[in-house]
This record gives sequence, structure tokens and C-alpha cells, in this order.
Amino acid sequence: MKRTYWTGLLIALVSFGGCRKEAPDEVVFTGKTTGPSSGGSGASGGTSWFGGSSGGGAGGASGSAGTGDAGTDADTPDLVSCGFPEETQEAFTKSKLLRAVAECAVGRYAAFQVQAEALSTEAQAFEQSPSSEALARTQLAWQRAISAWQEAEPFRFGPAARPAEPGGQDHRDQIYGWPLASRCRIEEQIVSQLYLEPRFVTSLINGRTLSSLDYLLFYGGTSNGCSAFSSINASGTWDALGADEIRARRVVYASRAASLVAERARALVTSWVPASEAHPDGANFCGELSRAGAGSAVFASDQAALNAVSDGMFYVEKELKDWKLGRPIGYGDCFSASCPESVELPFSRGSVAHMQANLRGFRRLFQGCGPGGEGVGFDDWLIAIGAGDLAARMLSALDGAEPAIAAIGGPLDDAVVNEPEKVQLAYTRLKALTDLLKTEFVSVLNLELPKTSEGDND
Amino acid sequence: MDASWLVAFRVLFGLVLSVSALRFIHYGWIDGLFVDPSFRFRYFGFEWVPVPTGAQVHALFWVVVGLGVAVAAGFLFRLSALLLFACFATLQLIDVTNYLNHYYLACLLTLLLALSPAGKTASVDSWLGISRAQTEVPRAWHWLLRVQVGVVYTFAGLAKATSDWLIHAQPLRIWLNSRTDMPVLGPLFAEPLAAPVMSWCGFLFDTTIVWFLLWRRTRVPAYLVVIAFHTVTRLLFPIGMFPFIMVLGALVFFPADWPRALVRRARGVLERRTRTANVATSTDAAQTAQLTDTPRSASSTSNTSAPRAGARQRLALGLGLTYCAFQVLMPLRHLAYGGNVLWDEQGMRFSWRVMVREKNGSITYIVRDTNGKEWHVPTHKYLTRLQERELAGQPDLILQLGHHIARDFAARGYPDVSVQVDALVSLNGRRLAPLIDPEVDLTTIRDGVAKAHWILPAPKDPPPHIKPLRAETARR
Repeated sequence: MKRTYWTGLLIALVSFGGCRKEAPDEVVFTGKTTGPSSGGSGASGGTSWFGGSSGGGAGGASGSAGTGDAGTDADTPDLVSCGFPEETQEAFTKSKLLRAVAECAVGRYAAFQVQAEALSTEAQAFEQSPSSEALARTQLAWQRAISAWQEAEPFRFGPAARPAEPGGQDHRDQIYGWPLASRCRIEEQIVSQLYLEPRFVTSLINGRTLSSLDYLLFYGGTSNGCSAFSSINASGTWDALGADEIRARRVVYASRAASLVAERARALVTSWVPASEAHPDGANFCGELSRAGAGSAVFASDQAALNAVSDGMFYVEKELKDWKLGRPIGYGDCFSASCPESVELPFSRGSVAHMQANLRGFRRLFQGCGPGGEGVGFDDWLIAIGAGDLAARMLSALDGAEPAIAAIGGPLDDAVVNEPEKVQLAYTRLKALTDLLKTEFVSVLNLELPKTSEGDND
Repeated sequence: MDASWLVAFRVLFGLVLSVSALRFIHYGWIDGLFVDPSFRFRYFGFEWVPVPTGAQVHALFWVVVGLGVAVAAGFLFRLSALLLFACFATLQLIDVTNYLNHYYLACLLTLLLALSPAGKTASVDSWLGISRAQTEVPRAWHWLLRVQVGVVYTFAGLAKATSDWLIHAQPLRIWLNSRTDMPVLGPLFAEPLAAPVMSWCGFLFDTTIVWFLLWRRTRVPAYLVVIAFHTVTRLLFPIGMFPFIMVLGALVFFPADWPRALVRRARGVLERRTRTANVATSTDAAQTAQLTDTPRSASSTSNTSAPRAGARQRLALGLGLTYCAFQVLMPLRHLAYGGNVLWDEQGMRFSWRVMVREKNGSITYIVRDTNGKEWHVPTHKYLTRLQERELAGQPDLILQLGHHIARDFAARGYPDVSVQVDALVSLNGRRLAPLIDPEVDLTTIRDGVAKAHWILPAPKDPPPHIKPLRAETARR
């Protein structure tokens, strides 16, 4: 509980800087000069890791980091599933939806685990034999991993959620700490070499996880983003390292961070699947979700379980619409025309692809997990209660948002400066979806908005 | 009039308030509701009430626990009850988003209790000789509390006299549909007629129960219905202590000596048992009789204080009537505004409109400066999720936050911003519709009691017909 409190407090401090003390070294904060482009080559800076171009965009990445081909169904290991018997019932039930959601979540997490393991392997190879080619392979592995994870972001319920939530084990924040991402903290830890110590695993999440790897793998410069008064600048320890040592340490750091992410990915899958030969420690959260209201130790009713699931869907409102799109376009705490420095993962510059992946994940929950929205989703629930019109309008809004985001095209930090109307359109289209989500959707299904169950009513 | 009814009410109500405060402490709700918010919505006219610090709020809850017990025991009763009222009211006045009808009712009942002679008998005060024993109370107190409780039921019933409730069975249809996996009752809720039948039952219960409670011949069965009704609502909805307060409140419709009658009946049962066991002595029975009958038989030891006509009594009567008139007129004030009170909320609070709407909204503030720079400010930037939920359907709160946003921008060096709001709201599952005129600059609007023309009219379309969905788990 205490850790959750402090994590929440940190997020609040970082995210709502407008009326609170600002966190000067946070990449996510807008309008600051300590962002990725400060003090050196920045996100697309021309400083190369190894003195030349590295095909994968190392250091000198000039375009959007690709999505790789992660997150597709082909990446889902066939053997990883909840193991539910085949559905025989035609009619929609909430339990059926919960089983579909559980199966889908396991599929997304397993797909990510594959990519996280590959990333860890590549990062270790890079550590053992640093080269431009190894860096490019590691970058590509990271892009695939982050793409797979972005699709799983809306699945932030159960073990992925924070400990205060039902069944929460904090796996999400341990895998992907965004919006907590501190370039300065990472650079301090490059100096202190915390990543070599056992306590690195419990260190603050803004210095490890996939978001830190964005800096470690894609920033090739040797300047740092800390203030002149920070310990590494005031004492001169950063400058004393020298360019080669800094880069060498980043490689080791990245390898350790990637290893932790892979461990967490394994733990997340294990927490969901039932015990089996492949997963002897399987904790079977699939079972908890599917037995909601009928023996589940976590959920007293199927409605409570679906509430938890729907909480995850609100990712598209706050994180996606307000933070990933709204902040860079200047709608948030931004007092210039736009704030390109506040894009998500600024060094790899793949924000547009990540937002597309987020919406793919949302569609899997809302419409169905299979290709093209096949399978049971929340839209089937709406149809079953006679709110098919709302289901159609939400799908229409989703259909409108996806191409609008895709149309942004290049890196978001460029688009908000050069083609802001495209980003504004994407924001507007996405808002049409979230408006329905926050109003009619929660009303007719009697879902509670996230974190509103405290206290009484009348 | 026998004071025992008031003593029983004092004891039970004091304990209920203590338990109510203990629930907040036990469930850890205090921080989330009272301490965490960085911005607090104030009641119109009560902005001057100071906001306590987090530690003070926690302390206040413990003080409420203690004062509730003190009131129940009748210890320094008048002071304890007045302090209890002050503390409870202060907590409620911290933030409008914490408003609940039953908290308002608890405040009113505490105030009435504090002014009544409830502490003058069967109390620590009388035992210690702090107050002079007074086993009878003016009949007016009984009727004042009956009016208070009666007003709650009656207006809660009248609030249901809408097409949404009586024709479309909304929002009950939505609520029941999410509870079809409840044990025993769940399968019933999946029946198509469940929502309409329960809507009408709720309406008829609220509008008629007071009369059945007042009529001697129907009083006891009506009270059993009260218990059943509130038990069901407690099982269905997260309404906290409301059912307990109402079950306790409905006791005021019984004759003034009901506690004494209850003791006599219990004594009778006990006597029959002891006779059967052949262990009781007639001496014991006589002593018991003396104890329980003391207030009536030993009138020489009590101060019955026959009411004396005089200015003080006339003043008390006038104040009582004024209070009753206020209680009747306050819930009717929405008629002066016109429109749908469930939509515009003008006249919503303090009107006993209990559980009659399902309202959700998506609120975004559009801030523009003189240079054309535009910000889209989401409510989560300033509010907790709980506050956001409450703000979404309440125009005066939307206005308050709009003013706060303007002040916040001014503090950052943007004093001349306009603040408009994109407020899309769904009432009882209807299609979302704009609640506030999006062209209006909220910084030019002042809150007040006049009709708010910046609030748009309610949508005319009916709420959706939600079909019940049988739970798979309920059939297992």
C-alpha cells in the first residue's frame, strides 16, 4: 500500500506539474529544456554510438522507430492459454466475456514475453560484443518488444495493475514505467553503476523498464540532461567518464534493464496461466477472472471483474488522448505553440506507432480479440442488452480514430510542429470515442469509472 | 409526553453516527475523500468555512466517534450534541462532491437532537446531577421529528414521479441488470418485469409509508416493510448508513412510550420463562416493575414541567413551524427554476432525491488566451476520480472548477483567458448531450441561486430500454 501511495504521488507530481512543484528532470514534463533534445544531440541527434551510421537508427535515428512486427497473432505462442474448454454456448453472458478477456490478455502478455526474451538475448549479445550491428539488432528487438507491450497497455487489470487494484501485482509499471521516465536518473545511475548491484531490481522505475531503454539504446550523445547542480555535474563525475566509458556503461545498463523486463514478462504470464508442465508456478488469474462471482477469491461478482477490465480501457482517455496526444500538441501544460519534447519515448520517436498499437489493444477488448475484431468483446455485451446502436457508434468512433492517428505519419514531435492540424484531428477523433466511453458506455453497462468505488452513495 | 422515545432515539442515533465515522476510518476513505483533493468544491454561501488539514480531518472523525458515544450516553449532552453537529457539518462542508442526502439528514437530526431535551433522562448527565431529571418532553418534539423523517420519505417518493422512473423504469433497469448474479435475488432481476415492478414499488413505498406508519392499525406491518425495503436497498446499493438511519428514524412514528412498552413486553416474556423455571421471586418482579415504571409512577421525583404559555413557548413554536416550512419548501424550489432537475440540478441538493439518476459525463475545459493559444484541460488535472465523477453531472461544480482554472492560468501569467467547457452528459443511459452552453465563457458567470441560463435544456428523448441479461453464474 505504501509503495502504491508513493508511486501515485510521484505520478501526480510529474503529471500534474501545472499547479504543483515541477519535476525538472522528467522527460514527460512539458515546456522544459532538459528534455531529450537538450544538452546534446537529442532524440535525433547525429552523434553515433560507434562513429558511423547504424542501420537501425542508432543515435542518428531520423525517422520514426518502426513497430517491428510484434503484436501480431503470429507471435502468440500456441501453448500459452488459459486452457478454458471450447465455448459451446451461443448466447452472450458476462462470464463468456470474462473468459474471452482472460484468453486475450494471456495472448497479449505471452506475445510480449516472446519479444522481451528476444530483447534480453540481443542486449546480452550487444553487451558481450558491442558493435553497430549488435546495437541495430537490439534496437529492433526493443521496437518489437515495445510494440507488443503497447498493444497490451489497455490490459492493465489483474496482475498487471497496481497492488491496490483487484489482483494487482504491479507488473505493468515494472515493465513499462512511462510516464515516469527520468533521463537524469538514468545518467546518475550510469555514473553510480547501480545497474550492477542487486538493489537495481527494486530501484525506482523511472530508471529502468522499457522507457529507460528508449534512452539507453537510442541516445548516442555524451551530454547529460541533469542540471548543473546535480551531483554528477557538480562533482564532475560525468565528464570524468569520457565518451567511450559512457557508451560502454549504457550497453551494460541496457542489458541489465532488458533482463529485468524479461523476468517481469515471464512473471506476468505465470501469474495468469494455470499451472502446467510449461508453467509449474502458474497462479491462474485466468481462473479468478472466469470464476468471478462464483468462487473467485478476487472478484465478488462478474460485474466487479468487468469493472476492473473496463478500468484498463480508460487508458485511451487519459494516457493516450490527454498525455500522448494532448501534451505534445500543446493542449496540456504547454505554454508555447506546441511541446514536441513531451512525446512518449522521445529518443526512438515511435510514438505514432505506439498509439496505433494502443488502439489495437483497445479494439481487442472492445470488439473481440481475433483478427478484425473477431470474438467476444464489450460490443457483444452492449448488443445483448439492446444497446447495439451505442456499440455501432463506438466502433465507428474507433474506426475514425485509427486512420486519423495513422495519418500523422512521421514522428509525432515533427508533426506537432509541421502538421499540427493532423494531430488535432487525431485528438478530436479520439475524443469522440472517449466521450462515449465515459458517458453512455459506463451508464448502460453500469460500470464504475476507475477509482470511484470508495465511499457511499445515495 | 413520555420521553422514552426520545431517549431511545438519542442512544441509537448517537451510536449510528459513531459507527458511520468508524466506517470511514476502518475503510481508509478519509484521505481519498477529504485529504487528497487539491481543489475543493465549496457550498454556495459557505465558502468561508475553513478547510481543515489532513491531520485535523482525521482527528475530526475520531472526535465524531467519541461525541456520538457521548450523545448516546447523554454525557454533557447539550454540549456533546452541538459539537457533534458542528464537527459533522464541518466535514460535510469541506467539499460538495462528498454530499449525500443521508449525511444532510444526519446533520439535521443531530441539530434537532441537540436542541431537544433528549439528554434529561436515562443519561449520564441526570445520573451525575448535571441536569435535572425530566422524564417527559413536549409533544412538539415528537411531531417535529416525525415531520423531518416524513419529509424525507415523501419527497424521495415524489422525486420518483417522473416518466424515466415510472414508465421507463430507469435508472433501476440499468442498476438491476448489473446485479443479476446476486445470490437468490439475482435471477429475479433478470426478469423483464423486475425493473418496472420494483420502480413502482419504490415509488409507492416512499410516497405512502409515512401514512401507514402514522396509522396505529398498520404501523407494525408498515415498519416491517420499512425494514425489508431498506434491507433490500442495502444489499443492492452502496448506500452506507442510510438504511440504518431510516430504519431508526421510522421509530418516531411509534407511540412515545414504545421503548417502555417494549421493556414491559420483554419483562412479560422473561416472567413467563422464570415462572416456568420456578426460580423467580415476586420480589424481583416487583423491583423490575418499579424500575421500568418509574418515569410514569414516580412523577413526584421528576419534573414534568407542564408547559407554561408564554413568549418563550411561542418563540419555540414559531421556530419549529419555520423549520418545518423550510423542510417542505426546500425540496420544492426546483419548481421555480422549471426544467428537468435531474438534468440541470437546480434544486437537486437538500431535496431528498435519493437514487433517482444515473449520470455520467465527459468534461473538457477549453481555455484560450488573447493570442489565440488554446488549451484543452481535462478534469483529472485538478480533481480526484471521485470528484470527477460528481462534477460531471453538476453544473455549479463545473462552473466552480472553470473559475479555478481561470485563477490557475492567471497565476501562471495568463490573466485574460476565456474558459469554455465541452460538457457532454448522459442521463439514465440516454445519448450524450451538451449540458453547458459551449459558447459561454465561464469566467463571466457568477454562481448564485437564480436560474442558470448557461445550462442547456435536458434532452427530450426517452432513456434506452436496457434488456435484462441472465447471469451464467446465477444458473450454476
